[in-house]
Amino acid sequence: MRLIDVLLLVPILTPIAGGLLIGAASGWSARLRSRVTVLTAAIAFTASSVIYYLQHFAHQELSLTFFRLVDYGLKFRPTDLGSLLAVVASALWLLATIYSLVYMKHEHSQSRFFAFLMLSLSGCLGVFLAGDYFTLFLFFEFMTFTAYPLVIHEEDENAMRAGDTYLYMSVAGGLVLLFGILALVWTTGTADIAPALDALHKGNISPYFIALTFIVGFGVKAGIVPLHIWLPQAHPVAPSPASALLSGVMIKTGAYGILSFLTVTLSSNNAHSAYLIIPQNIGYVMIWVALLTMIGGAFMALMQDSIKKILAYSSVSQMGYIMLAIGCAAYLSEEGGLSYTAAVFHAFNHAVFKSGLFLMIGTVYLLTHTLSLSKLGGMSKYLPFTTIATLIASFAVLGMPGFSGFPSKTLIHHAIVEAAQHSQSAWLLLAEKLFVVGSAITAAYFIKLYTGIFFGQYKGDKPPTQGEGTLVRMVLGVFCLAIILVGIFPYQVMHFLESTAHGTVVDLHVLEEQLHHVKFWDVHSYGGVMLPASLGIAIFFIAKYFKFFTWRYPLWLSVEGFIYRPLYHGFLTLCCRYVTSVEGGICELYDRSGSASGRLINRVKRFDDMIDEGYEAMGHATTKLVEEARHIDHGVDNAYNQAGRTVEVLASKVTQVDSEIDQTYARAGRAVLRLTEEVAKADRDIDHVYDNVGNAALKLTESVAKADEKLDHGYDRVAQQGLDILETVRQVDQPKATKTEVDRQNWNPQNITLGSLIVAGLLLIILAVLYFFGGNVL
Amino acid sequence: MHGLFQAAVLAALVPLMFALVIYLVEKHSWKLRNGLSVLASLASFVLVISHYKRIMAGETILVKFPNLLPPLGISFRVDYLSFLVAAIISGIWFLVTVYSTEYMVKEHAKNRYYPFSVLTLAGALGVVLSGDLFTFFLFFELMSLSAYVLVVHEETEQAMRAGYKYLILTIIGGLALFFAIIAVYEIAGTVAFTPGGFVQESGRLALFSFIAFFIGFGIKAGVVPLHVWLPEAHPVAPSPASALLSGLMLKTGAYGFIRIVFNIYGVELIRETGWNNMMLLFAVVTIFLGSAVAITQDDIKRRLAYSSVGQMGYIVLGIALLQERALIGAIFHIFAHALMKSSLFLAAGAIIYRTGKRKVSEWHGMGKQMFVTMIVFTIASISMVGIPPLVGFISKWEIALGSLDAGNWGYVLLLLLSSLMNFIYYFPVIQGAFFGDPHLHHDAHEDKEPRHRELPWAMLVPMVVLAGLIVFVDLLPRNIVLELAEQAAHALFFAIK
Repeated sequence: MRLIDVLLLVPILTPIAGGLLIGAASGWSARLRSRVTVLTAAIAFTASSVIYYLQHFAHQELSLTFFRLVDYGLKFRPTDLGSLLAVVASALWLLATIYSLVYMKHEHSQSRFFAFLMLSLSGCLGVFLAGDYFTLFLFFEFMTFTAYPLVIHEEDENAMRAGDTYLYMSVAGGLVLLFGILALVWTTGTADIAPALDALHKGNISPYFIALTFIVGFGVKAGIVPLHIWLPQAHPVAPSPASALLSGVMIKTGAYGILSFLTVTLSSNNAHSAYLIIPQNIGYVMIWVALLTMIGGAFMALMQDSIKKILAYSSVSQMGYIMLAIGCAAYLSEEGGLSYTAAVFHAFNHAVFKSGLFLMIGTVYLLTHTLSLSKLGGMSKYLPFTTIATLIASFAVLGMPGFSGFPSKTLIHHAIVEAAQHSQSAWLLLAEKLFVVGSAITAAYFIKLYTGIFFGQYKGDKPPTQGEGTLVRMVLGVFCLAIILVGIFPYQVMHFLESTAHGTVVDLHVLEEQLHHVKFWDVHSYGGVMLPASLGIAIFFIAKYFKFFTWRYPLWLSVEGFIYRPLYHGFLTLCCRYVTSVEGGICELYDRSGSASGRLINRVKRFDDMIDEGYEAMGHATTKLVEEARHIDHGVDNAYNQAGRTVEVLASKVTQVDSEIDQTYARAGRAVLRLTEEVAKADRDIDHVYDNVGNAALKLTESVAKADEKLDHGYDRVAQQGLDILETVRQVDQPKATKTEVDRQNWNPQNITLGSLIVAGLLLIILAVLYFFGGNVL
Repeated sequence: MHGLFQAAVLAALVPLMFALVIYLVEKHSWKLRNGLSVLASLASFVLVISHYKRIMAGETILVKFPNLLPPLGISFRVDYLSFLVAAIISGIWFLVTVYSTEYMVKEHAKNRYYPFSVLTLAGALGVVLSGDLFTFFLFFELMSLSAYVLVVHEETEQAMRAGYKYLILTIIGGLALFFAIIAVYEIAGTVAFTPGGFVQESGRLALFSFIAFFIGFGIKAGVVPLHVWLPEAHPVAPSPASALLSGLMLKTGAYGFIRIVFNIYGVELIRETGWNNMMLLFAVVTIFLGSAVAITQDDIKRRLAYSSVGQMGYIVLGIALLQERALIGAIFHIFAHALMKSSLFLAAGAIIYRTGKRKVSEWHGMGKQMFVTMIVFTIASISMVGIPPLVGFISKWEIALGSLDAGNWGYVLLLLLSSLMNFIYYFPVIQGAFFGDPHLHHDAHEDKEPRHRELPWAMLVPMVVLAGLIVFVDLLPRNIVLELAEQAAHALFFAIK
């Protein structure tokens, strides 16, 4: 890596650093921020210029490769065309930045605007300085994203919608481009911007398809019909300096990509390659697409009321011119040098005059705050400088001799004529006529635009109170100067641009030859301009007469309503409705299968329950049976028991009876014993009694003997006393008798009589009977 | 040196031990708990990284414990792929754990969260460091089951439902894997990962085992139609856990796919039998369906979860194409998607943490309030769309080239279509956050609102580191991850049997 190669990084890294710095440093004063911004843009411009100088004049091949991302890394190796476009881009960026210092003064979110302005500059320069498609793509995407905040800067509903259209289409385009690059890399093994036509056949992807992806991918950015729809929405809503850059410069990255692809990649190192038919066929199709873009864009511009929309559609239309030249270049391949130069020339011119026009119109807007043609008018009184500047830029667009559009348009006209001659077919002659028609409509809408703004009466609320200011005048003056200089020195510029064809399919010798024959300052060329101009004036008046300008076509007639909206909605419906419902179906399937298995389990459980129940029932039955059996058994048992008990009772009764009998016997025995005892006792008593009786009788006998003696003695005495007693008896006979009875009553064996014995025996017998038989009774 | 103390083994075992320690100390000190959780992931990251020299020298580290759980035995194996994936897992786990120390402050049951988070890490690392299917299966189940606790952390009804779904499908997957492993053992008599594969026959049992593997890993990786648990489970988990689940745990499924295709069956066998076509079909459906459904989701975390489904489709596609470049893309996408999805979930989590707003439609003006968070979100989502030079682009590029190598550019179109869909569902979030503020044109309303509701450092730094990696991994002079992915793919494809 040489030190000088590092220079390639300066125009890319400086704006990134500057942008990040501006974005990060929120506390900066507006003055400091402005200085940093302008300084950054100026450094980028200077560096680009130095690179171009080294490349073009000092013949230094600058090349830098680093950052291996995949098999490819960042590779910067600008072509002549790329480095020239980088100079133009950074110059315009510098001018627009200076202009925006004035324009943005009263806007919100200025830091964001300037930060992204710088970042998108880096992206744009990266595209132009890229050495391969990989790097180009990287910066292309970077630019797409960093330009988004510029587009939606106003953040109102319009801007947001336009921003969406812009970004969705750009991203989709970017992805299509990525596919193309992938296919290119895979088939050819390199991403370099180098002839690859022969290698493209090795793969199984048709080269036409790859070409289509490249053209569509870049075409979105370039605004080719029908990929343009974001452009007339996005360019007008951005602040004017941003519009200028979007329409003037960024759009060219698309054109640059297509041009590189068709004239470099689709070329062969072998001049007689059999595949050269491919770029020719593609070029032929491109010519028609370009004419459609050119006329369609111009036609739409004619119908717009907003001045910025007119310019935006005008950009579409002008891109058609450039595409036409590119198509011719591809179609004529080696002999397309003139077309190639025409394309580059017009791209360069368009960058200048369209940026200029946006800034001029922006000045009108800045001072009047209206974009509507129906309100504007009479500005020539208030803004004379802008009036003249816009006139110069408009002349450039129309291709008036002496202004920059003239030589490039003339070259394009030459290109289409040449293509028609080459093809020998009537169709391309028709194309040449259509080219004139396109130019005529361009003239018509520019007349409309110019007269609408600057002539007549101002119909708005309050006319501008101040002029443009010095800074704005200076910027606009630079644009006018550039336009006029190019217009005055067309040959010099043309030959200067000739070198950009180096390395393309173009045969440089043929180119030299062709350019040698080009004559700008002659009647044919003037005629080529005057015819469309006069036609344009006619169209203008006719359209005005038929009130065509105010006609509003229905949405469905537009490309957007016809293709993109249905496509977008269809896609979203597909995604959101059908796919989501499929996914929901899958989820539901799981839930269902879950609940189904739940049900199955329930069913199994129920079956199981049934079996269970069966068993249970059987069990119950068995239990019952057993119960029953037990019951019976119980009964039997009971019966036995009862019987047993009865028997037992019986037995016990018997036993009782037995025991009673026993007892009775015992008792009887005992009674008998006692009786016997009693008897014995009685016997003894009787014995005793007999003894006693004997004793008594003995005593009695003794007593009787004694008593006899005494009685003898007593008889004597009784005889003696008898007389006394007889006397006394005569007195106390009674009491003596009583006393004898009382003695008789005392219990005394002496007193026992036979009668008392009998009574005693009877009592005993009664007692005995009571004792023996009274047990039951007592 | 004894086998147990080799770094390869320790890397998986250290978190396991840490989980236990954390469980023991957490009742006493929450600081210690958080510190140890962070340390666990950091330690395993360091242990994994310590293999760098040996791995870069082309060495394959093998540690076997044949006597542990015979007859299959436990074994650990570190090659390029394991090293890379383990480093990704432990590294991002570390960052997410740092983030969670702050995020979880508001949550309940933190004492449950941390040990299980570390346990899940142990499982995930064990999965990628294991040397055979049996060890793989052990750790796989450990990871899956402990992640359940993370999924149901909130314990709301929704979380429990999602957790139930997760658990059922995880168990089905586990059983499928179990069957597959037994079948492989029956066929070949071994389950150790072998360069070039060891299953030689393509009989019915082999096919069945392959299908069972596909189901087992497909459920983990979220391959449609086995993904149904994913969009339920990821959004209900706490945001750091979502990041881990979506960013890292899904990858173990993808890792499993790579291992079975290249180290069990062998790429020749798969190519002969055409079994990869099955994977391709499902990958295509997954990519398309995941991306499309994501568009319709308003809940940011559900949107991210569906996005994960689609992105996992890329990885499966990259594996199933059986092309070296596609495999490089798939392996790199394991890294890229882990970075992107973790930072997206962390950013979304930060916004939920601060504002409680889960719906994308409510995020208006969020970019002004939480600038850094939304920048992280923006970087990650642009990378998701595949815009160079961010990491998401590289995997897409390699997989696209791989599908061209396979001779089918339909897949490239699918990838690009899916990128567009990614853009369609990510861009409105960014747009709503930064631009089109409805208050802008009315009054000075915006000045009154706090411009920044700054996040705590512990949350901010991991997010910024992740976003920085997304941007700068590719811009460094050497893209080590890509080199490793290339080496890994090369080693897998051209293994000497």
